[in-house]
Amino acid sequence: MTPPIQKNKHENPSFLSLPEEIILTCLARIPRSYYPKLSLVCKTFRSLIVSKELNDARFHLKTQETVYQVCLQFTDNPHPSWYTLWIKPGQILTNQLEEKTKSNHIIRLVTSSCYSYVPLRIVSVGSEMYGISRSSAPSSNMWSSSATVLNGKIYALGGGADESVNWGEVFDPKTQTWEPLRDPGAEHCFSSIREIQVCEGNINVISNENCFWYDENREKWTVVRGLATLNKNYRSGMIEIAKYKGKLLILWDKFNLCNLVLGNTRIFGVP
Amino acid sequence: MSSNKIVLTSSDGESFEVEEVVARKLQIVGHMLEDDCVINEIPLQNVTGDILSMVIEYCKTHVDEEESEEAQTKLKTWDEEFMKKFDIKTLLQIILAANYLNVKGLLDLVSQTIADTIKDYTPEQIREVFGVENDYTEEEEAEVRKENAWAFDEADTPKP
Repeated sequence: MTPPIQKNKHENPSFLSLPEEIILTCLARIPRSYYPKLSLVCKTFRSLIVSKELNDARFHLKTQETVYQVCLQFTDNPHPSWYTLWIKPGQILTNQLEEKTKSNHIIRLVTSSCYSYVPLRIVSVGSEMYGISRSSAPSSNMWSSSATVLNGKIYALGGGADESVNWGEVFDPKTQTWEPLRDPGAEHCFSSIREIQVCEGNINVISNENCFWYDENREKWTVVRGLATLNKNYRSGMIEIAKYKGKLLILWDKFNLCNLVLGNTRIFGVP
Repeated sequence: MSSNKIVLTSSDGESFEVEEVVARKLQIVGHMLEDDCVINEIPLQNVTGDILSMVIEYCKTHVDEEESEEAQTKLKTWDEEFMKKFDIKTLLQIILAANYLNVKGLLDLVSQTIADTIKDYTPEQIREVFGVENDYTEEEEAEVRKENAWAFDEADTPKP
């Protein structure tokens, strides 16, 4: 229960005397483009604006905004930085932008944070974004080539051909720990992953040699049999995988020397 | 629909007799009614009579939330007019009460109103109207202003 309100009605409550939860609820409803201005109000505003709690509040209130971010590394700095595109509040972007005298005040890239390494994969879990890089790889024991999110956990897969390293690991943001993941069988771990996707609670993986999918509840990988045609002929083409009426649907391009035939499909039973 | 009446009593001893359906919009009351089957009078320690009367006014208006677009538009207009009645200091008291009494709709409405106000004010106006102390030293403030200089232009400088 909320603690008793100490103030009587004759006192003027200040905005910052409200419980932090309410302050965040208000700030989370203000578009981010106004935040540079708000950071000038006082130290508390400034620290709340960059807090993880405000991000969480935006997530719960569904006031998250689409942000455009790029990770750039310049030659004069060994560490890359993330830049966020900032557009002046109330501005509507038009292609006449360059005609405005103050165009450099309307839109710009703002440094949001510095990283030690350029992330190879970026995944988001809830209100948080995780960058997985070569050197901050899951554990010291693996190097991942692909990552995806299933039920709030990050799955990093494709840990290389060496038996001494893990092929896959799972990260639980709640405990902030990585755990090794069972692999689909030694013979399937050597080929590199081409595509990975989450579909109806399973993780589907297509590697250069095979296709297999992971059932989280049973903690089990199942390898799809009968893909000889695909493996032999169409390794370089596009591949899409989907679940359709309880079956795993695989579509790929068939590349002939002079024409491209789309729409080859195989449907495999999924128990 | 139940026509059972419930008396809500504020911290300063003011009593309000409301229909049970209205009282239930205050989730704190709703939970009490679920825990004990028969309550006719509920003391609300953390809210004064003048603020409680406004919360009740909101709950009475929102007691039948109809789905139709027309009803929704009407309610939205009422909400806007309702919010215009209060100054910031009263809004801060209402938001505290809405949080304590757990009236989600009102909490959303007031927090959006406060957010919209903050958004349009200059930092100086925010400090003044929302009773926020500027705890930056002159040098620190200049530093923050410099860091964010790209975001400011004449429009953001304080107005007399």
